[in-house]
Amino acid sequence: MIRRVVFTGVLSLAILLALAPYLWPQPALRQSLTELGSTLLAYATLVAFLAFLEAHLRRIGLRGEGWPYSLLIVLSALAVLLLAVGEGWLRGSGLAGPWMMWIYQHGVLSLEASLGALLPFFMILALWRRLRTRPSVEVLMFTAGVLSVLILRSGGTSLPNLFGPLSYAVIDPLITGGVRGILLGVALGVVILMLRIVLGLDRPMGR
Amino acid sequence: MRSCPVCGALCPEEAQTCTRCGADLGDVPREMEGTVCAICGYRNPPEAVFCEQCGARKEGEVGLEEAAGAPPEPGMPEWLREVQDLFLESPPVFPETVWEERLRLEALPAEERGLEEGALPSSPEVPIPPFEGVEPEATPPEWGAPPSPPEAEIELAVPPWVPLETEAPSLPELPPFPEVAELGETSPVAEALFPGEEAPRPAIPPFTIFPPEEEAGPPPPMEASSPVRDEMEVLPPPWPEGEELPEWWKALGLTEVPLAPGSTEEAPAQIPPRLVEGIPEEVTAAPPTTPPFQLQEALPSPPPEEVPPLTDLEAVLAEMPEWLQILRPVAEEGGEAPAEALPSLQPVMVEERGPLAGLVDVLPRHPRLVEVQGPPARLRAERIPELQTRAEAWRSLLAQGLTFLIGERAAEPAPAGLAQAVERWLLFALILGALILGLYWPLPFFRPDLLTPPVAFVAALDEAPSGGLALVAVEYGPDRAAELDGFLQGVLQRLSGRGVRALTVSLTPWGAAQAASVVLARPDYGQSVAHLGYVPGHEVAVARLLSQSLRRFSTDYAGRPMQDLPIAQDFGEEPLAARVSLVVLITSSPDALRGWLQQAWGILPPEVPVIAAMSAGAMPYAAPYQESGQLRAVATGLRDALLLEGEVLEGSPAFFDLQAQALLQALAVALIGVGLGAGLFTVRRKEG
Repeated sequence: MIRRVVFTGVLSLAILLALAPYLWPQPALRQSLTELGSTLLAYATLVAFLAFLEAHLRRIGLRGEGWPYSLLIVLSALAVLLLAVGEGWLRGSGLAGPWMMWIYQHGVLSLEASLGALLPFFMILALWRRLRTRPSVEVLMFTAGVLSVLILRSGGTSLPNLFGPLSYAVIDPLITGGVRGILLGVALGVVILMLRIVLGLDRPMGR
Repeated sequence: MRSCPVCGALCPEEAQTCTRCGADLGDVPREMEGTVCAICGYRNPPEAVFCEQCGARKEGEVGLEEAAGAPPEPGMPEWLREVQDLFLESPPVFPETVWEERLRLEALPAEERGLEEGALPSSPEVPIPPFEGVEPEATPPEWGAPPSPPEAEIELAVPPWVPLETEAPSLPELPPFPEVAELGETSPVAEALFPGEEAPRPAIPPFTIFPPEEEAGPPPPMEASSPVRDEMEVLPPPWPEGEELPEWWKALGLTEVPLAPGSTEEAPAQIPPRLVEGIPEEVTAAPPTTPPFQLQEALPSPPPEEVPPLTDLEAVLAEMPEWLQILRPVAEEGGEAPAEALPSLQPVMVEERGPLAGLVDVLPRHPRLVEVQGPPARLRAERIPELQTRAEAWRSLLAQGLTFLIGERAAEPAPAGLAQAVERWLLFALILGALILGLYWPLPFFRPDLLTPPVAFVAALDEAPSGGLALVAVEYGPDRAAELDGFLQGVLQRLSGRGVRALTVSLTPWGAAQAASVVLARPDYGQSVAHLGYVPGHEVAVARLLSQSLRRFSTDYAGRPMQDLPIAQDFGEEPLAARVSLVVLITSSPDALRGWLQQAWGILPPEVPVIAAMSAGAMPYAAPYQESGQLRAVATGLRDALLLEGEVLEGSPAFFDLQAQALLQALAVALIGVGLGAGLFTVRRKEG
């Protein structure tokens, strides 16, 4: 009980302290709080990397399902890490060193580009097969969406000029209204969640 | 499936971490310390009295805590504390000792037991010493038993509608009402407990329970005491007369012979005066509205002047003291909470344990109370669908290669028919043909003069003052490089051409690497462009970056000191937000766009324009910010990126790129039409 009250109280104080620079402008306090948050997130990233390594090493040790992938991932991660650290130590350039940039340009970028180039093939195949099934409301809505995007974004043709007024009159308000509703919902949810945490109604750490 | 040792959630067998709380499932020892909460499944330390997750009181901890001399809850009224001391949730330690003592006596031979019986003081005449702060009941509490009358009200009366039998012990059979038994002037149980008085053991339950009304259909809540009657049927032989009382019994200051478990008639004789004095007057004096049974020849209750008056504060706290709030059950975490634990405005709560067993809505739930003790929320990191899709695609591709390398057999996909294979390859050939056709042959339907450049976006770039500072945020990875690299190159080229210095930065490591692949290769790097690299902290880093002084940017992404770069010669102690005159966001993620806009709002001066270059798929998410004025201009897709440099000349690489894109879009539109037609034709043919 006492521990729960202490945790909730500390969390509420932290939230109120983070809100204070916005209600009462204090650049130094705001700067220090953002520095603290960024530092914590950086350490969290480090912890996440260690947890990632530990999980895959355990799978390798237990010969679990897909352990070769874990082995490949661990070796890749450690190789890149050692390379970056070594290059930073020797050349002082770290991630932007010539070895690392070579890996990025000729490894990561090429593979990602090839993977992205395959997407149109699979998407059009999936669209084709979906359309050949029994037509339904979902299929019609999906088709209308794809058609509107394709027609309105067909640069170099007369289609956008023909359907431009329709887009401004119907599609744009729908898209803008829908996205705005999503954003407002997210903002309200965040505000309510913070209020509940501040008031002790929710315990995000489960304590 | 296996359950998480921390939160109790069911997780797959192969899971390494809990899907709910993220706890590590791999290092779970077989024997873990602590006890599992019966409400939420959380594993608490052994010394914990309350669950650390839901706050529910652990079973059996009340008596132990009280026995250990734990301090009472602060602010609890005195009389309420005494009542709490008397009505424990679990039996205290010494009643179990009584029961063990009885079992030991039963196991002894009759002669040996007779010796001990002879030593037992048989004594109704022995005066009852004053109670010394010890529990009055020497038997395990039977919560289903009827409430015991006071000491002076031992003799029970039979209601007028019950046929009276004066010699109950001699009855060979049960009375007409199984629940009703009449008593003589003395309790047959009290007589049967001592064989020296030669009272035969009655064939009926030694206590009487009268239903409140004869025509009542369902059994009253007191029917829940059936286990008590069962226990009475297997009642061990009574305490031998003359047998010596145990030492612990004498240590308590009691000289009464302890009763068998379940016999409650003699229990009131052990009620300490402190209880009678401590209970408020309203409780002792006020008769129940529907008494379960009536008293006959009852002696007057203790004088009211002995009862301490109830203060206003106690009266208020008695409605819902804090320790009772803790005892209330709480809902299980998340959506797995049982329905009965969820808030209900008008619940019907039947007390199942304790002295209030059988009563309904004694402590009605207050909706606010349920809300306070609702399920705890958890902050979880949502998976980014784009990254998830990429990871799964990589795994799928790797699986095909690694199975050959390591000899692991992958699951064979279902064999596709010939028609499906032909269909698939035909579609792929069409796409490939359209791509090649659009990239190398000028087509008559494509007219570059119909292309409209992003006028507002270009105008915002041109509004940046010469010699000013622009901040370019690169928030995309290599998967979107083909689409958005054109924006980065075009923006930097246009800014540097007008003498505007640009600082590139990213909140993601891959964004920083992607920007480095473009920025570091520029010949004017260090003169008009510098790459600050990765800034950790996600959205939080936006405020940190903008409010950081320029002099604190010590090195660039390549590790070179910023003081050595010509672009940073006039960097002083002023924050970046005070010097920047334009912010350009190049991103494919709606979350990155939202984070930048929301976090930069209030730090950037209002006159500093923020513009965004986004992938075509994320365009709808920029529309609300553009209408609200937070975004001055938006440019989307490959077309706008290619048009940043101005008019597209026929035969230029940009011309063919745009033509190929337009041709693929036309192909997709055509396939949609053909697919819908084929689907409708197939359906009609099947129906016909």
